Order: sequence, then C-alpha cells, then structure tokens
Amino acid sequence: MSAPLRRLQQAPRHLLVCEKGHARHARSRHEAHVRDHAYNCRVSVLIPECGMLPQVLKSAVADLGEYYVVRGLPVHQLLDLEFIECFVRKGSCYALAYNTRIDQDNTAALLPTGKLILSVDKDTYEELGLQGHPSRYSGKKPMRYIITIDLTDSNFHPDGKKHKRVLWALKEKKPLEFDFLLAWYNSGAEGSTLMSYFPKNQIQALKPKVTFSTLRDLQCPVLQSNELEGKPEESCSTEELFEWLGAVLNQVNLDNVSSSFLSTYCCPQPNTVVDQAFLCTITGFIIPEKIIQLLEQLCCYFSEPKLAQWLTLTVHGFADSPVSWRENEHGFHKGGENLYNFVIFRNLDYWLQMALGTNDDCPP
Amino acid sequence: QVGAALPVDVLVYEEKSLCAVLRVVSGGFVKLWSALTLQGFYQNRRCAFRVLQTSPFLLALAGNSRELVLD
Repeated sequence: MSAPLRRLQQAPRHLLVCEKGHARHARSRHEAHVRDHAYNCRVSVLIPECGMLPQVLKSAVADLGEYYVVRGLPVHQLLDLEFIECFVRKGSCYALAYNTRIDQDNTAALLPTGKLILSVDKDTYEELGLQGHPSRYSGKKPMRYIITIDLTDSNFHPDGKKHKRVLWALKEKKPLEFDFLLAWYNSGAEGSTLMSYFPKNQIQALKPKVTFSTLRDLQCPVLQSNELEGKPEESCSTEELFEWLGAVLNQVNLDNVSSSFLSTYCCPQPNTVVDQAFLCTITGFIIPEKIIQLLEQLCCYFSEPKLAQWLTLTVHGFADSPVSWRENEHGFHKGGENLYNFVIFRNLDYWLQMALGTNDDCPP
Repeated sequence: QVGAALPVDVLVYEEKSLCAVLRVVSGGFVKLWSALTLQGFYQNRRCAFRVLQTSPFLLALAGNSRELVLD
C-alpha cells in the first residue's frame, strides 16, 4: 500500500494507562494523582445497587464550594503582590482561561504551585519577548510556545528585574486578557475573599451543577480487583470496563445483538443485571481537594456491608487546559481528552485508569 | 470489512437534537470523517454533518468542556 493510503488508516495516537492499588496502603498514590490533575470540568459517580444519594456522600456533595468567573481579567493583575501574598502563597489557587481553544487561541492558567502558564501563538510570543520554549506538539516549525512564570520564586518580587520585565511585557508590550475560571482552597479559612478582591461587576460566584439519576435494570460487568486483564468466563478487563462506563454515561443501549442493523455494542461478558444504579454528575470548575474528599467518602461507603461489588468515580479534565497532570503539556489534536477513572472495590482495592490524547505526555 | 464498506455502529441517536454517537474501527476513522464531511445530499435533500467531538475513548465523549455553559 502506498504511503498516503497507509496514512488514511492511521488513527491519532492515544494512551490509556491503568494502575492498581489499595486506598488504605501507606504508599498509595491515588490522592497524589488526583491532586496533580488541577483542572476538572466534570465528575461522575456511579454506584451499582444503590437507588439514591448515599448518606456518606451527602455532606461532600453539599460542600463542593464555589468557583468564580472573572471577565476580562488582564493577566498582569495575577502578578500583583497583594494577589500573590493573599491567594498564591496561602492555600491553593487555581485559574484557567475560559472559552479559549488551546489549538487556536492564546490561553493562560495558574497552578496551585504558583506557576503561571501561558500558551501562546508564535506572533504573541515574539511580541511578548518573554523566555519560553516551543510547544512539544508544534511540529518542525513551532507555531505555539509555552511560557512558565514562577510567581513564588524568591527572585520574583516587585523590585526585581524579572518581575519588572514580565510586568512590562504583559501590561504594555502585549497586554493579554482573558475570562478566567478561578477557585481558591485554604483549609481553615473562609473561601469568600476572592469575591472581595475583584470588583463586583467583574466577578461572579457560581456553584457546581449537581444532577442525580437512577438507572434501572443495568447490565454491569463482573470485575475482580486483582485481574486487570480479566479472566475468561470470570471477570472483565479494565479496557472493557472503561468502554462500558463510557456507554453508560453516554446512555448507549447495552442490549444489542451482533446482527443488529444499528449497533453491535454489547455489555462485556460476564455481566450481571442490577435493579438500580445511582449516577451523580457534577459539572463546573471542580478543584482536586473536593475530588479527594469525594473519593474518601466513597471509600467510607464500603465501611458498612453493601450489595455493590464496586463503584466508579470518573473525572474529565478541560479539553483546552495547557497542562494535564502536573506541568505536563496538554494539547488538542482531534480531541482534548485528559480524564481519569477510579474503580473502587469493596475491599478498597482500586483501579485508576488515566486516558490522554495525541498531544499529551504519559501521566506520572 | 465488506468490499469497501466499513461497519459503523450508531451507538446513540437523539432525534430532538439530531445528534448521534458513531463507533468505527480505528483504521476507518479518517474514511468515516471524510465521508461524513462530503455527504451533502440524502435522498435528494440537502444535508450536512458536523463533527462535534471525536475520541478513541467513549468515556471522553461524556464530558466536553467546550460545551460547558456557565449560568
């Protein structure tokens, strides 16, 4: 087959990794993985053999906190000493440009580590004149550059040369302005001070949207926590579970026969039919600290005897975030997927599946 | 594969929004997307297909941050 025809059959690269652990193991990395994934737009919890919101989740779901939208915020205002002292050095501050496309537009994000990430096109990079590096997924001719500024660096203070240069670049040379999604987490302190920092006409407080539904007569795959590859006639593999979960969350019919005209997708074998399953969906700008609380409460769900053998927690990242896990660069090729899924078993073993698209690095 | 045809699954079809989720084998991804793009007529009526989201993971289609609407 000639090279162009061969290329027609190539699907974009993607990655799905699966890790097994135990939630109560001292060296378990489940919380670290959640913490490293800063920007999350959707969290879904699926609990088989459950008809309504369990008691353990009530407080976690009620306590999701608020996030904020700040319209037309110039990036240089994130360099203000007062902002850095109040929100970046204390607690965890998350900011992500809203409604920008990572494959077309300039975008910005602030990580809780204090790193300000700017993902800009070639023209903007040259106009800004700040030091950065070409995007890893830019091809032979770099058309996208990443600039990282550490706001908590000891050298980065208002009297220093570095700060003056960055401020001049972002304020006068090439002012950048975005609508930002913001959240701040500080254990022990009230979370309302972001609201008082920005002008009232610029900032809006929002709560994540929560929806509940009960699925009836759901076919669920049989899983064994120590059989990641599945065992013929006994349990399903992690990939089969991952695809099945996608089918459930997208309301795909699981009942097709192989000769069906429309669809041949079926629930993987072996499976059992459960009378009911509880599905909770949270959308918005959800910070890792809240997801860790949810995860902890889901582990507590099994502290009392339950019919369910396992439950799942699925988290979708923002397609247009400049980073996936930690500071790994994230891009949008044909899709911007960066998501992860926990399967928590009765004995608190867990599977953690992390999925990434073409313009992405392997997760840590 | 039968001749030049590719088996495609219509996993979901929502009449209200006229949206569907299709599944195809990886090797047929480019062909299917191209075919949808070039499909301009159906039974002598003009039509157009717009691809909203693609992913190798069905689960990724459940959450599209580009459609996140803030109140």
